[in-house]
Amino acid sequence: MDPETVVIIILNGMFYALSLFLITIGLNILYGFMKVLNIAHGGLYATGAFLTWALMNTAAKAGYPIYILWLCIPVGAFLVGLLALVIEPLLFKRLYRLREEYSLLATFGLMLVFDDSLRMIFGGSPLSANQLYNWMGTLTILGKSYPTYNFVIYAFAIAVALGLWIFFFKTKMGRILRGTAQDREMSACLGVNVSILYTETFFLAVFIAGLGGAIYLPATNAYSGMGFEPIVLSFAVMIIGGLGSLKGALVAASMIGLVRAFGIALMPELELAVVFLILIITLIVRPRGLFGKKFTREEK
Amino acid sequence: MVIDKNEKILRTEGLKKYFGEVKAVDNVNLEVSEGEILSIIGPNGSGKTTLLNLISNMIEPDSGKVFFYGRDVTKWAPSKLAKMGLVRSFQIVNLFDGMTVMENLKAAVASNLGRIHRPFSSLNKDEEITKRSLEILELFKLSDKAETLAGDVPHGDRKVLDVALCFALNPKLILLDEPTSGVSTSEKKPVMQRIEEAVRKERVTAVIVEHDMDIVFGYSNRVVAMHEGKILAEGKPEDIKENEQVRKIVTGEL
Amino acid sequence: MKTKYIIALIIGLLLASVLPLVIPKYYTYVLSVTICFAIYALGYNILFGRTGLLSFGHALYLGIGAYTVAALMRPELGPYRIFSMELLLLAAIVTSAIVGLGVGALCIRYTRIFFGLINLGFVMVWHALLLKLYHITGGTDGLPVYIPSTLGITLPYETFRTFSFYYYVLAVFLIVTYVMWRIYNSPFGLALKAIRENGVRAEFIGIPVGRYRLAAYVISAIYGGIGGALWAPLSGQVSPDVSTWLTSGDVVMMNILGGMFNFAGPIVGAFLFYNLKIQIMHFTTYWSFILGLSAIFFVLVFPGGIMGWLSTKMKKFYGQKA
Repeated sequence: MDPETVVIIILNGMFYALSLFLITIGLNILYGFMKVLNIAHGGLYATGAFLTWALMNTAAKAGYPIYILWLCIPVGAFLVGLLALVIEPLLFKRLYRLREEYSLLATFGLMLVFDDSLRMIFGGSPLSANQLYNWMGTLTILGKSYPTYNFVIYAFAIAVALGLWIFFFKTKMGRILRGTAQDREMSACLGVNVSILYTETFFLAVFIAGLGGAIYLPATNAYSGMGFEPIVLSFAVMIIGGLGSLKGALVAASMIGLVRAFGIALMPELELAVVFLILIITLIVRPRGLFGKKFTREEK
Repeated sequence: MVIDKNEKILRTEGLKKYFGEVKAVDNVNLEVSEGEILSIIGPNGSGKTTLLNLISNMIEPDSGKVFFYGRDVTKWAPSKLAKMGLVRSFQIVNLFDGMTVMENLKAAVASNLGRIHRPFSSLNKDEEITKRSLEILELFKLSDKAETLAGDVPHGDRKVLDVALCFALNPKLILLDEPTSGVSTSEKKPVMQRIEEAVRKERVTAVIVEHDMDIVFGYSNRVVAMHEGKILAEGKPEDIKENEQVRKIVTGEL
Repeated sequence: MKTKYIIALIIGLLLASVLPLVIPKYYTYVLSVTICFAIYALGYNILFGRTGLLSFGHALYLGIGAYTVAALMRPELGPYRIFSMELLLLAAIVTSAIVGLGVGALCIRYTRIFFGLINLGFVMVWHALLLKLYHITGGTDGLPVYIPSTLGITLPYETFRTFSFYYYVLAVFLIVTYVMWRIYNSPFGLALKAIRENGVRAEFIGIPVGRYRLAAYVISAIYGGIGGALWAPLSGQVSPDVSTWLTSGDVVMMNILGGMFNFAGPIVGAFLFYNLKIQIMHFTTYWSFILGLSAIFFVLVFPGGIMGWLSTKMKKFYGQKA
């Protein structure tokens, strides 16, 4: 394999990795703050892509200028966020009290509902909205051309990671959130409206997932079933990185993205299996993931 | 296990556990003789519960050893300790909430009789398990709750059941972690009485952790006072009661 | 009380044996497949409902059972081909037990989501192997499964799948259900329940939790293997589709639907799930939409499943009478 190909594979790997990273952040926020494992997050990611497609498609047909198409991305993500404001009070509020198994099953159910609903509304064939992607053209890297739009995604993911880090560790709101995650009752006593705070946090987590789906749309397609593989892999990322670790999510997502990219290039049939082999090996070597804390007896 | 009667039933050697900067248990050497009832007192955060957790291998010590009848059991799994007769109760009630009170006891009794692994014998037809479980129920005055789910009985009874589970294991040494915590003041005495009666009747050695001195004074042969992970004083209950330093720190009196 | 159960059992048995004579052939086939899934779901229950371990990859064992049967029937084996269903079942039990022991030893170090996902990992790896090792597994097409001999007798081909094999499957089902019943009512069964309720305390009353979890895992693996082994001759073909995360999810749904804390729950759940799936897929392609909604509905409204709900109703009814 020549070095040019290797660079391209690495870039492709990171391209995929960052989509997992954006989903995993949301999963980590929901798990860290509400102790809910949300399988439906994959469905929300997909919804982000579909809604943005609908917006972009309408805008492009109406002949709006290109900056309107850019605007479709945050608007699409925001619409997905609004969805969160509906499902959080209706479903998730009831799940916080239940055993983990139940919330996994209910959110798995929600994932199926999302997937089939999208198929009902948008049909079964893949939808593309590649105006922005084409408009940005290509760059030449080591003699090979590479889409410029992908670099938008890299920059965007880094911005999200930085933004969240600042939000959680440097702002008052972030401190309140972290405090509530540690001790819900204490925060309630101190006058924090936990119920509203949870809804807001939920909105944030879902918004990021929607944004992930939206920003990937121009470079890929929206298709029914698109949420399943990323959600399964994001759970793997979450566990390999360590539950609740932002740094772990980034490292593990990169690891899986790269392995997957090299897997596709070298042994196409084993692609997903290799990812799970990494998961299994990581859990054997480091039971709590790369950046997770050690188990205590209670948690076993 | 061969029991050497010349050895102390329990002995710890330089037991140490730090949580970051906090010295939860700091070089504790403790000896317990067969047949005594030893109380460990101290203010919250003095390391009593951590000490119990180390002895029962709920958590691993940073250094130091635990000896049971002279044998090093520091690394033994709790299930193995239970089989050998070293059992414990929990400060925060730790029961099988979705099982009836009777089932809770049956699990412990079956384990003690070495029958818990039997996959094809009928549990309900095992008269020995049933008989022994009923005895324990009787002993702890829980008979009327036998068929109630453990999660549904009142808190005082839950604390008692937590201790009863230990007795169902036919222990030699029992570690009781604040057996009356969370019980209303008026109920504390009767709960403690039920437990004390059982200790006398079954002739077991007991180590009781309690932050409320008055609860345990009447029942103990010996008292150990802890402060900041170290043993502050030990002696007869009367002496400890008179000890100025202990009164100042443990009971907060001046 | 006891005679009541026995009468109910006899009526049920009679009904089950006459049924194939009166219902269309296709439904006898469907019924047989359902029973295979019931065995699979029953075995899954000892892990999920009893021991409290939620696996997302149990179809691994369904696949291992099915592929063991198919592999031992391959023409390449020449004179060593095995056609005796009893031997095939035995082989499926052995292979699923061995794999269950190995995989289980790794998995039971974790609980909760970790346990679920590491199992999912294994079924994904196995699925990929089935696709990749096509010279042994036949790749995407899978392997053909021939008509086995039952109790040394080779039954006529024409009625095998739609009639005669049903009785064989039913008999195996009754045996394994009885065995599971004994396990659930034994001290060991109580120990597993104790582990589900509170793993820490179970350890402190002298139950070696890790080993018991492994035992439950191996038992449920064996039941999955038996289910797969019986299903293979019925389907006539095994393919990687049998071991996916979807078929793994199905068994969880069967348990939730029927009730995971009730002995009959997974059996009832398997019957309802599989038959509803067939019926619903007749008139709509949105099966997973309905499946998803019912999963949410059951978790929120009937967390005890149908049998859990029925048994509390029954208790209330009899309670008022007495």
